[in-house]
Amino acid sequence: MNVIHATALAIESIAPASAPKPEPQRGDILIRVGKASLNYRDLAVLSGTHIAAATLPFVPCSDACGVVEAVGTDVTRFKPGDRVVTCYIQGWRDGRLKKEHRMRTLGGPLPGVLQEYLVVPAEDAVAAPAHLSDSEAATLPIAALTAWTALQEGGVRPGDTVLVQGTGGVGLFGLQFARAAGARVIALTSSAEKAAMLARLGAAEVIDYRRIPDWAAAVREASGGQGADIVIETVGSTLEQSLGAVAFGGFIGMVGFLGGLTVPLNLRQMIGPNIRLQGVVVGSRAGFEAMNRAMVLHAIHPVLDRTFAFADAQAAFARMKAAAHVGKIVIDVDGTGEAR
Amino acid sequence: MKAIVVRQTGGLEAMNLETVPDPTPADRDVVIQVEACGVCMHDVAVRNGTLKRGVELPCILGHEVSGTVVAVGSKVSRFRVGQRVATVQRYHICGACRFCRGSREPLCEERKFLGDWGMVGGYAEYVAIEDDNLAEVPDGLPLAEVSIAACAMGTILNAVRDVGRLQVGETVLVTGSGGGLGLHALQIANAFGARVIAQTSSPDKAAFMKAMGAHEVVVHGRGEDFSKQVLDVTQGRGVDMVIDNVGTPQFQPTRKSLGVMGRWLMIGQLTGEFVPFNPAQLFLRAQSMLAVNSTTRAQLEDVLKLVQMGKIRPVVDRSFSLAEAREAHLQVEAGRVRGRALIRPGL
Repeated sequence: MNVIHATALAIESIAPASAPKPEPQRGDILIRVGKASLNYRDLAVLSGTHIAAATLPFVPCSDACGVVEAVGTDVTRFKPGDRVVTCYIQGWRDGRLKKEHRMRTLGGPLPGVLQEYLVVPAEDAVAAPAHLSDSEAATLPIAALTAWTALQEGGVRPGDTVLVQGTGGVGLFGLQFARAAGARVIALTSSAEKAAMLARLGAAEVIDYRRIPDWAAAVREASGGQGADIVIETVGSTLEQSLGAVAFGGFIGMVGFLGGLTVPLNLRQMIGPNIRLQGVVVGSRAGFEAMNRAMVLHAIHPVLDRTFAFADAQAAFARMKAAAHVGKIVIDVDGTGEAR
Repeated sequence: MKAIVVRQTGGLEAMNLETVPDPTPADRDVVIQVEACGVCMHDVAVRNGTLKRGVELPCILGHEVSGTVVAVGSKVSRFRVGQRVATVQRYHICGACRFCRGSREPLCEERKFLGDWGMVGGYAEYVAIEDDNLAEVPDGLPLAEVSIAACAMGTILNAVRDVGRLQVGETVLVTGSGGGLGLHALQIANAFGARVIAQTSSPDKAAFMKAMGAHEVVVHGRGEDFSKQVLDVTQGRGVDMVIDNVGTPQFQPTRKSLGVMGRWLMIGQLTGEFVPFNPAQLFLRAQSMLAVNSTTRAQLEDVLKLVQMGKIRPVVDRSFSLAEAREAHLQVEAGRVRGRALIRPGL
């Protein structure tokens, strides 16, 4: 079968290759992959700094939607023909994250999803929401679930103000989910075009962080002087500003590290206003299923960027690296284009 | 001032329009010129003698009040004359006990329920209420309509948000959906992003329930088991939460509508009847009964904010003058009111 291999820790090494078709063992499902979707993490893995133990050659990318082609023995959760989405953290079904789950992630250290066929345990995939195309469903495992988990951990409720950053996957899903939960959303972005899209998706206020570098004050002003109840911090290095933008007793879900891995932290900014700062690593399968239920109810569709052919996977990574995208970048693994 | 006074419990004739002394503010009192007072079934129960606990006669009925401040006591600093305010369901709490200090002030042992205890109630031109029990009404909100913010809406916010912790995407059943609490429960559960199922035996109310936020309306014959219909619209799973405004008369169908790990929020109880049930029916499916009790001042403030944001709105029906109080009770008892009827002393 066709696969995409990274033969070195560099996106330039990404190229089509072939590998034996995998067989589902007891409890497994064999998925014919339809579409895959990129995350910033996929770049980080290929930078070589994110996961030390990636063995080469390596199948990149974590998120996929496909159709169950065959099931191993003792599988009752799915049957051939079911449309499924993979769970990023394999084995984290519910409750608190445990250490043994942490290194069981698709797209590194476990092999990724840029392959025609993929085997995962039946328990580590979820049914694709019926209202979503394969491309849309493929965007859910990391970006959507991260935004969902951050909002749930933050205890979002109607009337809350939620701050999201940018027009990447997490920011846009965060906006959509917060709106569904009755919250008021303030979004940060850098262009009038992106601002218009954020407003179309329901952002009450959009702040251009290039024009207003001190956006913390602007967020406070846009929330009656209170600050945001929940901040989904995707940049990471902007933590200091997020601490200035969050309300007393508020919540910062630290989900991303686009701006680097170390940030200055003034503890006084955190202790005095009683801020909860929590790391959020995607989420459990139970969270995934709760999120999908909400997406169906609210008819939420992911925002898609561009779709790349399977053989052009390297170009998809380059687009991610150039930060030229708005919404989710899709890779057309089964070559059927946009259709289901 | 003019007020509706109950000196002896009984039928509609137990309510009489009297002229009584105007209230004067004690140290912590805020005297309100009443714009409106919601008419709650609770008022009927006080008037006819069904409810005796916490009632001291003679009394002026009414615990859902909005109005304008006309005088304040010497120790009042949060309010000033001319301000628009709405009340919770009490006119006195101690402010110091663990319930008052722990956002549970409806349980304060010193509490005095507005409209139940003596000559302090909303069916009157003026009422004096201690400042602990008031919230400012934000500009732009219609003052009469937000009289019902605490009782009819705040109790539901308490249930959905603070007791039941409803999450976006969960499924909620609202029993007694057509009542004053029910119609607001549909709205509030919808505002939380939940899938909302209304239950009613009045088919003519279904369209309005949908307009209030119900995704599904289960219509059934009076006394009929509606749980099968609820299971039908939840793929056999039942609901995650019940906002129960009915209690005993629908106990079994409500129980059977609740899914595994469901939360059953006990808010309303329409009769004095007891109900037999086997506790194992709950614990084998990991279901919980949770008590919802009244509204705190903080919850009232949050309701007013949500109304201001346009997330929810008070549903009020006809307004009655003080002289028409008997007619108002007649309509409420007959179930001919949609949402809440109001007493408007200014009419």
